[in-house]
Amino acid sequence: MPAPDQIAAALSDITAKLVDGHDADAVLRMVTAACTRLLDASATGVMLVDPRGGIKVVAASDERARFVELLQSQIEEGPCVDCIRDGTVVSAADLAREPDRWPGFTPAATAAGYRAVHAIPMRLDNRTLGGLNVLFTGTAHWARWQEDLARALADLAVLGLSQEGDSRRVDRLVEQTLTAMNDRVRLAHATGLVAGGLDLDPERASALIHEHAAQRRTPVRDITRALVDGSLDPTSLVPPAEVRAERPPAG
Amino acid sequence: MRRYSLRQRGRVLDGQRRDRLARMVAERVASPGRAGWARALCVVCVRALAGVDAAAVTLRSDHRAQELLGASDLWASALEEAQYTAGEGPGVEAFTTGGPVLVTDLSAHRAKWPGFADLAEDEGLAAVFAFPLQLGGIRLGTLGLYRRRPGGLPSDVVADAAVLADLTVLSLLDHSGSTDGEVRVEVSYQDVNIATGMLSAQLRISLEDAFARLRAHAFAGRRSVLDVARDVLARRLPLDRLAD
Repeated sequence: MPAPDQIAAALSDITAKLVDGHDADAVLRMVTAACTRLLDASATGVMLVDPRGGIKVVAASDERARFVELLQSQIEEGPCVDCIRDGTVVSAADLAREPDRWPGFTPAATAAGYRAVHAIPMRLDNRTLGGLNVLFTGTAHWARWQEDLARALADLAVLGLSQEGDSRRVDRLVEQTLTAMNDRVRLAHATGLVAGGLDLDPERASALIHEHAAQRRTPVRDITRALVDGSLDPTSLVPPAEVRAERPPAG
Repeated sequence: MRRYSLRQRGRVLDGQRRDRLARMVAERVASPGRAGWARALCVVCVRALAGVDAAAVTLRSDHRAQELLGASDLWASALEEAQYTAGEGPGVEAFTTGGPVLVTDLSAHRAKWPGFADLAEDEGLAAVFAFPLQLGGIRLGTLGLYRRRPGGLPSDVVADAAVLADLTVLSLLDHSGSTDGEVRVEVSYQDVNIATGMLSAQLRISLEDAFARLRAHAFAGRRSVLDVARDVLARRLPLDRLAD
C-alpha cells in the first residue's frame, strides 16, 4: 500500500489543477499517472463513450501503440464495455483463470503481456460516460481500499472532463456560430446603409467597405460596427478621386 | 476527443433511445462544414419522429435575425420564413424562453401569434413543435417540427425530438473544434439585412424601424419579407410606399 502522504499528495495535485482552471488533457494525464503509480499498475487508460456509438480512448499512461490498440479493441466486448454497460466495477484478477470471459480481449491482453485488469465506471448524473482501465502484468486481487481509490480517481477524471467541456469548446462554438452570424448580419446592414446613403448598388457598397478596411488595415468587423452605430459616415468611404468626379463642374 | 455527452444533465433519457438516434444521425449526417448537413438532419427528424411531416433547423439571434441552416423540404423552409416575416411564432418563442413550445392545434392559438397563424394557415400548417438548440445558457436557434393535421406528439416522440435537438447542438459543438470552416447556411436572408440598411439610410430611421417597415409591408401584402427586400434592392418598390 502506498504511504498515506503519497496518496494525499497525488489527490491534492489533481484537485488543485481542477480548481485552478485547466485543460482536460492535463487532468486526465495526472489521473492515469496517479492510478498507475498508487495502485502499482502497469498501465492505465481512460475510455469515453462516443455519443455517436462505440467507445474511444482519450488518455493513456502508456502511449505505446500496443496498449492503446488493446484498449481500443474493446468495441464489442471487454472489461471496459461491461463496466460502461452495467455501470459497475468489473474485475479480472487473473485473466489466465477465466480465458473464455472475453474471447477477443483476453488473448489480446495476454499477448500484450497483461495478466489482470480492473475497469471502473466514470459516472455523472446516473449516466456512465466511460471507464478507467487499469492493467497489471501480474495477478491483481484488489482490496477495498484499492477499489475506493480507483473510484475516487475515476470521479476526478469526470470532473476534469465536465469542466473543460463547459468552457473552451463552448467559446469556440459561440465564436464560430453566433459571432459569425452577427458579423454577417452587421456587414449586410452596413452594406445597405452605404448603398442607401450614397445611392450605390449593394455590390459596390460592399466593395467600398472592404476596400476601406484594407486601406486602413482595420478588420472589416470594426468598419461595419462603426457604420452601424453611426460613428463612421458612409461618405467617408468614398475615395477622394470619386468625390471630385461627382462634384459639379466649376462654373 | 468527445466530452459532450457530459452535458445531458437534468434530462432523464433512455440511453438506448439516445444511442439509436445518435447512430441515425452519425450514419446520415455530414459535418456542419458540408453543404446539406442540416437538411440531412431534418430528414432524420422526419423519419425518426412519427407524426412529424417536416422539420427545419434555424439559427437565431437576439435581434430577430435568423438564418436557415436547413429544412427537410420547401414547406418547412417557408414556415420558418413565415416566422421571420411575422417576427413571432413558436420558434421565436422557444428561442426566447429556452423551453420547448408544443402547439397541437394552431387554430386554437391564433390570439397568441396572429401574424404567424395567418401566414402559416395559408401554408396548411395545423400543429407545430419547436425546441431550442441550447448549450447551458447559450441559445443558438431552434429545431422546428411541422404537421399538416392537428394533434399532439406522444411523450416518447417529444423526448426523441429533444434528443435530436441536443444532437444538433453536439454536431455544431463537434464542428467548432474542426478546421473545415464555417457552418453552412442554406438561406441567410442577407438581402433582407441589406434592404434594412438601405431603408434606414434613405428614410433616416433606425435599423429596427426599417426592418419593422419591411415586415409590415410584406405582411400587408401576404408576401415574404425576403420577396419585399428583393424588390427594394432591385428598386422595384418605390421608397415612399414604405415611408409610413
